[in-house]
Amino acid sequence: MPERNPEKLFSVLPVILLVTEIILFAWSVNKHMRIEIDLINRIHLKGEDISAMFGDEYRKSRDDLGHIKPDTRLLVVSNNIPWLLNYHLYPRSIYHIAPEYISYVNGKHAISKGYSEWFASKNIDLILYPE
Amino acid sequence: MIITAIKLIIAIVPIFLAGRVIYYFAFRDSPAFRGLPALALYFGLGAGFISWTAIVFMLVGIPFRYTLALTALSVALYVCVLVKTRKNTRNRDHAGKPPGKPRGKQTAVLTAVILLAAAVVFFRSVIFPMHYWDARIIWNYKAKVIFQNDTVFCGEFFDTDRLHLHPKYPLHLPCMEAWVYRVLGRTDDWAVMPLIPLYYLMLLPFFYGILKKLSGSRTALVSTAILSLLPPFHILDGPAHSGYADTPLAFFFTCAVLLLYTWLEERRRPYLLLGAAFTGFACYTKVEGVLLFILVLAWLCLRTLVIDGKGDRASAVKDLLVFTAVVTVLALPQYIIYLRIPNHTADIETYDYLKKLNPAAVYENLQRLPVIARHFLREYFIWAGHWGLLWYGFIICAVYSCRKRNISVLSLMALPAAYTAVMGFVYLITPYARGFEAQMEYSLSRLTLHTAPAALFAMALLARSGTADKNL
Repeated sequence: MPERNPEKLFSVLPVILLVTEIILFAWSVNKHMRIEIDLINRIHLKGEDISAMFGDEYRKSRDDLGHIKPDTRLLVVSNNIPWLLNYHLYPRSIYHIAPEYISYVNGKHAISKGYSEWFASKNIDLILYPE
Repeated sequence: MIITAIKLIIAIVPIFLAGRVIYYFAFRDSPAFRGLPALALYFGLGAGFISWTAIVFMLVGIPFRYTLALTALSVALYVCVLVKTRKNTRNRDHAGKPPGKPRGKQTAVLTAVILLAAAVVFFRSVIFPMHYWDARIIWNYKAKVIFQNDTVFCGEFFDTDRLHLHPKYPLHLPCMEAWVYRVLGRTDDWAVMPLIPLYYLMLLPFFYGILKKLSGSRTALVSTAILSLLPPFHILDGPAHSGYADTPLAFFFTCAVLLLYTWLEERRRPYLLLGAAFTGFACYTKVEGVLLFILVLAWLCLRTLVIDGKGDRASAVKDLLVFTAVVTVLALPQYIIYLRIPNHTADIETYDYLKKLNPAAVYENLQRLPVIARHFLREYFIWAGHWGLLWYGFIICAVYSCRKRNISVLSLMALPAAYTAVMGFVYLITPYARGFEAQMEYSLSRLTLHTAPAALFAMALLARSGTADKNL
């Protein structure tokens, strides 16, 4: 086995790094996993199907492209991060709700940065957006 | 559900088997990797080879679905390898087996920490279908196009009306996801998720295996525990469970650096070839992989020609040429496709870095320097939630290496430092429409993640002072 470096630095430094990382890990897991588990519980309470929240952005046929409908549901997490929204490919699905946060740049729709504030201002937690 | 699980096993197990077969045929005389580090090596080789085959197939006009033949082929070849290696093992005596390790409380606690971090990443991967922005729109979307069309040479990549975001981005991760879809027979944003954490889960044992060989098991275990807990793997933009390509790139690049460092220490050719293969895989995982390849090449040149250059220079040049050739062969098909795909309108406006790569544009943007420096300082040293105290430790270790004139570790530490400098330069010239500050805010942590494990590896090397243990 290789010998260990006898200098004190290499006894202290790894311990400091490790303890810091453990504290950060505990904090982050507590924060994020609580949100996720809470979300799952709420989805189950509402009788929703998680995978149906997403839909499928991809359409193989070019003809479908002109008839893309926004997803029937939009879901927003409690900390104001709308991370299950199905606007990834087709921002027009969100356009119907918050048109002031959609801009048209170079022939493409773009979502402006203020959208999460918009949801926050409306105090939206979970919204169902029917077709 | 059960059928999906079985199909998922049929999709994932051949990745390992393919890696085992490649390892057997290409590196028969190479040092013995055992246990989990071997499994990690097989995963990396298998994933890299399958996606490379898919890219080559699509480039020469063979439909993607034919890569599925690799499933049966790797199983068949694996059986042959198994029979052959069993025969060889029977003929050998077992004296070479490494002695058992002493297991203390420390080992148990550190192992528990690593297992907990791994379990959290796996749990958070499978708890939801793929839902991160880039994971869906950039990487998984490509996988769906490849699955549906059997090629990238279709409207989604070439018709300017149908282009998706970043159509030119490398195809490793999309090919692997499309591979899962192909075995499943359908696209499924949830069923593909168990593939995502594998890069992180395999990085840990490989990191441990190589470090144990070079620095001893205690240092290896502590360092692997620190690696497993690094915040960008768990939080921030694009963590290990997200489906972004940053963790796969970190996996390939770290494996490459670890293998190449071992090659520099021991000069055994298989390490060089394996390191070159993993560098090549990194090149078609993310565009940053090419940048990392250039930095690794510069590092190898520095080590072989300048620092250790008292030996046979001709042989060093030959090794460097072999390394470059392997990486080029692996990366070339991807970049032929890259050059053929047109730019997205938004890409031209916001990501045309080459247009900004001229002295006038650089001079014009010099005013950004203080803001860039402030962001880097915050990211590495002030926002403790991003990296803990890792970069403080890095600076301390760099100063220590300077004082002790430990050139081999210092040159390795120059890799993440150089990558940081290059990233700073990229932010200087970025034409990103929403502003370079916004871009830095959400990309700096995950870009730093590419080289952070290598930085930790360099720090861990300083913890040894004796000769290396040859058993892995």
